Amino acid sequence: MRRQFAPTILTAAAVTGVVAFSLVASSPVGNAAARPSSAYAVSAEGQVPVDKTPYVESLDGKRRSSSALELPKNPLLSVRAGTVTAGNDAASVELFDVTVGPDVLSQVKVPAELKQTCANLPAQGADDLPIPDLPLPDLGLPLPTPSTKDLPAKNLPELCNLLLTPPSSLLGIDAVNVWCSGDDGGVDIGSITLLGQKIAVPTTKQSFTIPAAPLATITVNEQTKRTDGSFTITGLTINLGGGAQVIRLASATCAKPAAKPTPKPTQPTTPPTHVDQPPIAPPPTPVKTHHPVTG
Amino acid sequence: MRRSGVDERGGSSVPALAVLALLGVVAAVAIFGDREPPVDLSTLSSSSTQTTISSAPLDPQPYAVTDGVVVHPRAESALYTAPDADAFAKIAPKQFGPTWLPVVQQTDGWVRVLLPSKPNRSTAWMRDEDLDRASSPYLIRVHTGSRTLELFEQGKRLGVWKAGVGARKTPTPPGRTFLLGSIIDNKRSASPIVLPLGAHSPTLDTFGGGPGTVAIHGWPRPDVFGAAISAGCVRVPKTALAHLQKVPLGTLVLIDSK
Repeated sequence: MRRQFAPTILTAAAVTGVVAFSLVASSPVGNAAARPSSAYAVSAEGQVPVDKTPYVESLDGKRRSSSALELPKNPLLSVRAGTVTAGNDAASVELFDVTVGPDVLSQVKVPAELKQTCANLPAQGADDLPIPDLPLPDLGLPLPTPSTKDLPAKNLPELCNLLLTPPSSLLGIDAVNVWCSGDDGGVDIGSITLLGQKIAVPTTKQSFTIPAAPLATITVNEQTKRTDGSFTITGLTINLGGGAQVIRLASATCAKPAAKPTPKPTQPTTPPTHVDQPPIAPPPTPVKTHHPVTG
Repeated sequence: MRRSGVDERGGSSVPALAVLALLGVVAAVAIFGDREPPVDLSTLSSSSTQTTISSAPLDPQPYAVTDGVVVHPRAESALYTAPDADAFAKIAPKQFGPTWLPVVQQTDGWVRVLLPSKPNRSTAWMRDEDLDRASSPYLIRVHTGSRTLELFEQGKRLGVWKAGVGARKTPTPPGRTFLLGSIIDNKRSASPIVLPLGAHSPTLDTFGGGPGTVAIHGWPRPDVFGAAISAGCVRVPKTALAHLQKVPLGTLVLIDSK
């Protein structure tokens, strides 16, 4: 008899779960309380996971700020400094000197054959020489093993330059500023350097993507508006190796503060007693037009 | 014996665990499926005095006063049957002049407004974020029984005037509506000042080539004031009209049979 208790209790728990979940699921969606204003500087998923760091949120509309930008020790990502702020339907992030994949190419042992070719480049006509398709050693990063063809070099001299005097990182970003206010927001990026080459980034376009496949895809100014009225803008999303590693930099979410304890529809009453009454509407300006009315 | 008991317990727990696992999946779907695609306004019909939108929810309290809040859509905006429900129509930021609609109900992030389209007493929910807010201290009451119009400011009566109201076969529609526009129609040489309301004649589908919009306007001869003789409009004396022209758009107009 006693043995029957355990399954019975488990079943009861499951049924309670169903009922409780149904109640939760059927409650009206879109409560503004669900998502507060918030901001974070860095988050990452994949081989190097990083929780939103630093993360601040403001449930009551009061301004909160943090500059505690300490990333877990990792070979992939570093940020020199940053500040995140969240407040009343407003949030912002400032970031300086972000480096992704430091010294990525300096670890590469250039094949001897290629070294020799590079040393003996002809003085003229070298620009027309094709790029040899040589596999590169594993970069120790969440990237597929690349080949020399994947590097941003148009010709052999450029490839030689890239491998023999390697850039300091895969990706360098000198500054990122992101802000939102209500359902509006913007992104400002200082400059992005991809393997030593500066790339142009139109920050005013939403979700502009810089394809640098297969090394990285960089998406700038991603914006999301949700049905609960909240709005999120993310400065940069860096996708490495086709999704093996995703890094989000500078993300701000704006939402109205929670705490209005009257989620049920209420009937306005008269006379007006609200302290936060909106401004008095002005008298209308008559419009000269013809519209037949019932007379 | 003991061993079989363990087996039995394990066996019976499987369905319960399966239910819990399913709950997890449903919860995940509910959370991640929460995003709503933006509303495609181009497929929706626009609420105006010219249109009929029969899917609009009707005013649940057609004789109640409000606290005077009026809202203006900054751009073409969607109209919803309920907060977070589907959009059923849209409204433009201009009607005759700027669109101002009275708020009859509100909840977090949403307001319910009266609409200018047919049928009478049409309402819709709108997102707060799409709207500018203002407040009108005025209230217009039209009594078709005593054939009078009263104007209130901050609850204080500014005036009461005899008014011509709809005849028996073409009544002025009862219920609450609002000041939709303020126009000067020079084709009506006798009484060019016209204040169209959000309501329509309940008996005339069209009138004079228009959709049967009910309005407040003047009349050249005073014998009509205090009579039930119009095709639905409310005819008022010049002094009343001068006061009413200062009343902001969106102001509530309560029509009853008192």
